[in-house]
Amino acid sequence: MTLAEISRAHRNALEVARGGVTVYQVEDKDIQAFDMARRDFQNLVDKLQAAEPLKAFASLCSQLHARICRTPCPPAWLVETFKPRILELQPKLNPCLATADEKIRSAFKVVCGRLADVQKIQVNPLATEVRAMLELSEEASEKLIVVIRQPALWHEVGAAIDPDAVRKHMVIMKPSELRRASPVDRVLLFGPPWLFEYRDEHFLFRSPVAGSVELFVFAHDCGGRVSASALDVQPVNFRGIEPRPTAAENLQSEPLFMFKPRSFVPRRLPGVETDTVDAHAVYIDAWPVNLGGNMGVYLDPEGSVYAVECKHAGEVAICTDVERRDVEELEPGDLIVLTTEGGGDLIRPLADEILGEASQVYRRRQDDWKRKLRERVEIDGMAFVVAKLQAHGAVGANPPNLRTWMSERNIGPEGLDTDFAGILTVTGVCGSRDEYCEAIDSIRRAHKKAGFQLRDRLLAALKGMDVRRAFVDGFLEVRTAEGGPAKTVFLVEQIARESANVPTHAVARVFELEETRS
Amino acid sequence: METLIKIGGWIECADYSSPLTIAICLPRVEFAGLLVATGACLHATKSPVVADWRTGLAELLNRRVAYAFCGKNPYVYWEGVLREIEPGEPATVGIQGTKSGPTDRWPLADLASIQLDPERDGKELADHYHAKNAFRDEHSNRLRTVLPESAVGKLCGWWFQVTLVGIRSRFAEELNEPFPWKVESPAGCKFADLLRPEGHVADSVITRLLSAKDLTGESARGIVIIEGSRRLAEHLTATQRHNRIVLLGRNEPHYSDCAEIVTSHFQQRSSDVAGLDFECPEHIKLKMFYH
Repeated sequence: MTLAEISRAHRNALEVARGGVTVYQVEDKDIQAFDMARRDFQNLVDKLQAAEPLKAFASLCSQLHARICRTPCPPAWLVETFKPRILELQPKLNPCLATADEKIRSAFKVVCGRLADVQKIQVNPLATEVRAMLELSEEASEKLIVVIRQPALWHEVGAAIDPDAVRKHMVIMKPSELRRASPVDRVLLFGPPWLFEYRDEHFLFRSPVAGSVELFVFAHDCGGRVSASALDVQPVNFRGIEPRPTAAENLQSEPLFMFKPRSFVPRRLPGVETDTVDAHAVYIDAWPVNLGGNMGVYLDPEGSVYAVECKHAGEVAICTDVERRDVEELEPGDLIVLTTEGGGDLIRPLADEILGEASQVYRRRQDDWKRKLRERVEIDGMAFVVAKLQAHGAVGANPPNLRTWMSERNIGPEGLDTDFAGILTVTGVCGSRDEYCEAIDSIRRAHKKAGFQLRDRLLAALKGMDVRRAFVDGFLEVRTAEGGPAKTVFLVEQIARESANVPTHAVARVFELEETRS
Repeated sequence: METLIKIGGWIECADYSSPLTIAICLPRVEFAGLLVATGACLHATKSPVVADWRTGLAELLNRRVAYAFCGKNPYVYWEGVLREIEPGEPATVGIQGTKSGPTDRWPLADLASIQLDPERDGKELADHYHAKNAFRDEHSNRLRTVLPESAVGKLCGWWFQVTLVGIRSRFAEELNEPFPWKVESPAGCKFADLLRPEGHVADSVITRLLSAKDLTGESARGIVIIEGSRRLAEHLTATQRHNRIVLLGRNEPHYSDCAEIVTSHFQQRSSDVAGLDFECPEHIKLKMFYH
């Protein structure tokens, strides 16, 4: 961002700090009645420990109510989108209802009746309020962001708010895209304040992208507060509503499972065929990273990845640079480039290409001394091998370095005349020492060259490209002119706080995750 | 944004024997570190505070002045009027010569010194409490550029240093931005010209740039400006002996965790800080303490 844009971001924050957030409250008696009915049903289901299908139905109603009250989409349309899931549940519901408590059966009927009433509502009161507000605003050319979490709803949201497509500079974005978005004139948000607190989206108010922040909410759904800063208790000023804590019982009937941190369960860890620990593999503490598209990867916190820098402007996010970034510095919302077939490393295939026919020979030699070193350690133990290496001139020999040298992700020790000489002696490959040194040296030079070339290739492929799809869908495939392994730009969604001990050959290899958050 | 420069100036004169921490909570951290460092740097070199310069300039417009050119006899003065060459752009204030001097317009950067004509403006001088020489010394350099190269040269070997900790690639881009509060100068003035990071100049380095993983007790120099990150707890432990500024961006995913760490350190503070001698705007929150 430029200094001018940051200055504007500061002015926006000052404006919101002084003027507060404008709140527009709406209400509809049928939607309110549906909410009361589904809460009653939920409470009975929980209290009487009803069967799973009934809990699932209660959960669906909870999600549907959330969609109705926190997006401007027509309730009738939203009910239609939920119908397949309700119909799928129907065969399991009927037997449960037949044996359920009378109160549950009665509450279920009420919910269905209220649902039928909601299904008749063709225009969401939130949309009506938004359109009225925008019509009053004379600035048709103003840059406006509408924040909606689910891309699947965007088309309908656009049609509901701006049916005639008058607003040329209106963009719909996910909340996470606004962390580093360029400043605009106005931002529209939907939902009660407590929702933003739970979803860790306070930045929408604390670091607003616009000087004018408008919140649209149903009166019966309204509640909660957001602190303006984590360093003090002063709340964000929501003009038009009183800040009040949200009661815990209100949250029990919310689809809070949607707000939990993503799980990280690999469907199958790449390169690991069984669940047993590979005795010859080197293990490191790596960070589990949730990526877009329900994918995951383990990254070495000491390593680096290619990250995509982009400039957001309205509906596009133009790639401006591709840079090598420390894994340490990655944050949710960043875009990184990983290969999605073959090895996890982008550099190695290109380095092999640079080495040409000699790559196979060099890699074989590299694998050879590493394998022998691992065998030595397995037989004699780490401490003994370290001592032996030191005795043979390997001045850098110690347990961490030895683990690094054995790792596939390390080319070899820097000191070819000292450390590597010691390794060759200890592993018994003295006779072809020059060949092994040549292999390390050549691979190292090829990797360095590959690093420069790869960055140039990625930049050539991505620079100027609209990578917004990576933010919306979570990933975007990239083709470089030179071909090679398929590369994908992934959105970093979550980085686990605790490391996992994984074999080095599983690091930087993308895999599918077992569970998805709905 | 000027607030950040003022905070930098304020912490620069803080006593090192009682190190203190200022945590600044702001909407974005971009450029914040540079602005704080700039404030500290300007204060260290005893240059006029930027905001005052702009006010002073506005007051002097349309005054009759006497001026001398760079590279020429410094005792030969010409008469002229201080005017805006381009209306609304203070960067292009210059001199319009009168009958006793050139009739062209001269940008201030070309001038060695400027002074009010004491004979004609004696009354104003008395009101402004400025003697002729004091005015010349105080205003000529101020009007010429924010930090003239001659003053920068004095920083060679100076003790003043600042350490910036954060994303180095972003710092590198920001350092390349023009410094916005300056009079137009032929050499231009970027943040890098003021802050003199390693690699920008051969000597007289003021600013060290460190990534989060590289900050240790040994690598930190002078005032340490730290952008909040997952390593904040380690950083605060490593910089116990330093005056430090912690920048917390409210848009950052780790913001809440970093604020918690700062609050925890605040609760363990050795004593309170009296407070700043200027107001902070409402969108910038501070937590200050001796640690």
